[in-house]
Amino acid sequence: MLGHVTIRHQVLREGVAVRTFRPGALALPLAAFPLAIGWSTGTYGQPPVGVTSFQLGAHWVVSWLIPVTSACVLSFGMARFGADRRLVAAGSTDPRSRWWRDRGGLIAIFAIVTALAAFSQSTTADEPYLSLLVPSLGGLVVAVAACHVLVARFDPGPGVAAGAAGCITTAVVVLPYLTGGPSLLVIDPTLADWMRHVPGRSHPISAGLLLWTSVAAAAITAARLLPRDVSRLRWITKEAGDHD
Amino acid sequence: MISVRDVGKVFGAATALQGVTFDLEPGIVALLGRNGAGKSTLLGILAGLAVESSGVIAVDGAPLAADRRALRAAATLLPQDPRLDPEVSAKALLRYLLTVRGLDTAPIEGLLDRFGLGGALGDRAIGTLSGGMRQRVGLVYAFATETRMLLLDEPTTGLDPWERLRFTSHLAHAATNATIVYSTHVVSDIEAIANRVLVLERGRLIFDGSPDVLVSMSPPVFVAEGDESTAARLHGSGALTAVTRVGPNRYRVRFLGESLSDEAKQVEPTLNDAYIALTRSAA
Repeated sequence: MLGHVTIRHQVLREGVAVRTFRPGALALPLAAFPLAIGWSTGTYGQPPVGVTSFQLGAHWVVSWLIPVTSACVLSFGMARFGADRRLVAAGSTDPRSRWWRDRGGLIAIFAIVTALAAFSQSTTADEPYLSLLVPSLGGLVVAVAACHVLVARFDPGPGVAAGAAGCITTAVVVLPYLTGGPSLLVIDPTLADWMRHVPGRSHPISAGLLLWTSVAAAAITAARLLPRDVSRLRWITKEAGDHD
Repeated sequence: MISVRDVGKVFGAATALQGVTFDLEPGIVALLGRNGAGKSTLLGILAGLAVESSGVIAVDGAPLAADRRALRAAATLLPQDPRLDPEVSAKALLRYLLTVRGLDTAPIEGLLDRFGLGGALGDRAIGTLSGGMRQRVGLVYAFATETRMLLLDEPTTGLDPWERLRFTSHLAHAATNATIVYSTHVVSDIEAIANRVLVLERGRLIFDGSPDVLVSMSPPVFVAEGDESTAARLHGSGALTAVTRVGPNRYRVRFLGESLSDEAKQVEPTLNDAYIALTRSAA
């Protein structure tokens, strides 16, 4: 279905139709489903006093699970899929910039789904919407940047792309909470406090959010400018199979 | 005019091209070479999709710097095995590819008709088309771009004789305004259509001239019949250019060099004979 939405998007905008997403990637979230259900229903976790396990689980879902799953799904779905890169690379726009134009609709759909998931968690856990929406969208920005840099700049196979994007995103949106690192590195400061058994809520727009979205933007810019011309991308003339 | 001067390309420790020099003008240029000779690497560089490790490429006398947009705008590469999404229709994909390049999509309909993909065939998903039809979709793309240089890598793979005829007929028409570099290791494909032949061997350009000149360089060619050991001996010496089984342990062999017996008949060399003689001596 998502593939069809992408096609319709392309048809509406340019009068042309291409697929930019491997529909089979939509099966990947099934692997995360049990964890999402467990956290959403308050099955796991030891929240601080005054915080319910539903609220703690809601933050885990939106701050960890959605970004990491999005990174894997987007990377697996986009890596080495669509029109032949040697043909697209001949276009008037650099293929790394073209990536955004061809996949913007799909990324917007992921952002909407993320916002809906945050709303759903907010309703069931009685947690303020913004305190869930902001970290989930921040995590999605990191996931999309990781996917873009890997797929558009280095062009690995779908399995490698999903694994690498998942690892990078996990390092940003999961590790800082588990290691108890500096609060500057966490996108969701409320969750970081709760994991240290400190009750209360921090402002959703945190230093960590600004830091990681800035790093994401810098990585995207570097991937576009280094190297400047597409002819210096060594993989562009090497066409392997669609699969690892 | 595209000028290639002393171009080399290195991938790590492997040398794909070295000291390649030639000029390209309108017409059909056959690029011959064995598998791994460097043909696809050279085509990638000419298409502006890869950059040489050494040497200079100039367009209309202006040497190219790091930015290869001018070359990409002037050239169209049809790869040997283009990845065509099986779920998308030929027309949709062709429109997309031309739109990506900022080119007019108007030539698509006429070319689809010309290559036997008009009507409902063009609207069918590419995955439902035969291998030859998919190859024709790629050819329609290449010709629809109407760029001044076409780089065709093994373009006749999967085409039946009638389609080859249709393709070569259109190729001759397109070559009046464009430079067409036709890469292949099937020499017979280009025998009747190429004005010029470039032969690559292990990354080096070992011949640049007309097919007639290449044929004139061929040593004498003979045809004879013999048993399996004769064919094996000729094959081992690299003199064999063709072999046909004509009966039990009986073979008709075509070979270069000296007559093996009084029964061997000398025949006119073909481009294939000349190409094998050239690459054999280079190897």
